[in-house]
Amino acid sequence: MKRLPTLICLCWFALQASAQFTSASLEASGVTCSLCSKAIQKTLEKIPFVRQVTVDVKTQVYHVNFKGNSVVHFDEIQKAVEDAGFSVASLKVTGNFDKLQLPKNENIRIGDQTFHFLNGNGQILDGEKTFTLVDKIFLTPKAFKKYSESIRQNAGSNIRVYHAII
Amino acid sequence: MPLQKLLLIIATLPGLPCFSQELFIHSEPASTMPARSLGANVTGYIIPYDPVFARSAQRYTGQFMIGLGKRFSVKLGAAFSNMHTSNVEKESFSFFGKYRFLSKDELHKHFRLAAFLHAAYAYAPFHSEEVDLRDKTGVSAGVIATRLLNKVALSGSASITQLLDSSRFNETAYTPPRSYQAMSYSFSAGCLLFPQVYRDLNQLNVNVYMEFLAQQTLTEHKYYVDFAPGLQFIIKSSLKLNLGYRIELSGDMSRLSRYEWLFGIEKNFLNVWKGKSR
Repeated sequence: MKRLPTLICLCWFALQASAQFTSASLEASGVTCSLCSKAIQKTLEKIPFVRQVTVDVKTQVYHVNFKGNSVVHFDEIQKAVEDAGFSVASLKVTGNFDKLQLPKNENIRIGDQTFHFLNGNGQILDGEKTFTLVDKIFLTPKAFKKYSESIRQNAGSNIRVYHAII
Repeated sequence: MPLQKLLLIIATLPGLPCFSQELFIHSEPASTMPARSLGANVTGYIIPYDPVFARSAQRYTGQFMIGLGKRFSVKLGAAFSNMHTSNVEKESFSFFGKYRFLSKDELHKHFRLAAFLHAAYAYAPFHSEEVDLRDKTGVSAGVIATRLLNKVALSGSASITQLLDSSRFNETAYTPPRSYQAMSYSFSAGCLLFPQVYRDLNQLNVNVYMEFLAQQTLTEHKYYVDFAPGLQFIIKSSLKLNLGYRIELSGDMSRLSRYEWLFGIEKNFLNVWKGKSR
């Protein structure tokens, strides 16, 4: 049993893959005023790894481009929206991948972060791909219900694991 | 305006081709300011002619607003008026703090609850039965609920005010008796009239509001119910111009005025200081 943490670490290294996240498409909830949209845009622009934010005010979708070679923390994006007084309704992230195989029921390191693909089944990510984060903070309460059970089963880890579907 | 006509207007509000707006002119929504933002507003309240004064009267308020955290904002304010003196003089200083303790956000709609505390120190003499922290020293605490739907924003608040004027604590018997405690209520509805379709953040926004403001004093049981329509222009998503009117529909308490016009301007500044990263 003592070897278990080492084993887990080895698994992580084995599953670690390099990838660069390039952009995200974020839908904000609870927003219906232009002052609110502007507050969200300006707060997102203040995040160190964000290069540019464009807003589709009609649909409340924010296109967030990341700086090249930067470490992207998706929690910071959610925090920015919350600081502006609103919530994230959906967050789709786009990155460049190099023949990355998604394991089934296992965590995978991408860049500096750990992900768990709820529908991971050996698929291979190659080139520019987009996936959706489905943790509670990235969805509306209604949308989260669909994933809450699978995420709960995977809980217990003391590192930050982003749950995603592709 | 007859009450039936008013109710008819309000009933048609959700039917208007508009979208909900909660930046109310006469009352506060449950939403708070963005974290690390500042704002300032100046509002003029004009009474063209009031029989109580037998002249026109004005009040000017200024507020400095701070978004201290994502759920907590404060306003520091001052009021000046010629409602107690022939010249415009300082009337009161105030503190207003609001904490949003519940947010249920869904796409294009939300339900929020907030609690607030309002305190004021007034220089004006104790006139009228109206329990108003713009010209009387006291504290007020209350809750606000705001429901934002696609078409219309509805908001309601209830608060209790305790006036702490020095006359409350002496033995003098005043005639008529002074009211030191009141419950206040507000009900507001608002929607965006223009643009019909958002294209960019620099478009001029026009919002229309209908609000009801009511108060009942707790010892003398005097009351008023006011109707307060308003129009708001938002320029480049940062400058707000407010135009409002407030008129008593029904009431039996003595007040400085039973109607007033409102002209206001407000500017917001986002991300004024740096936040902590996670």
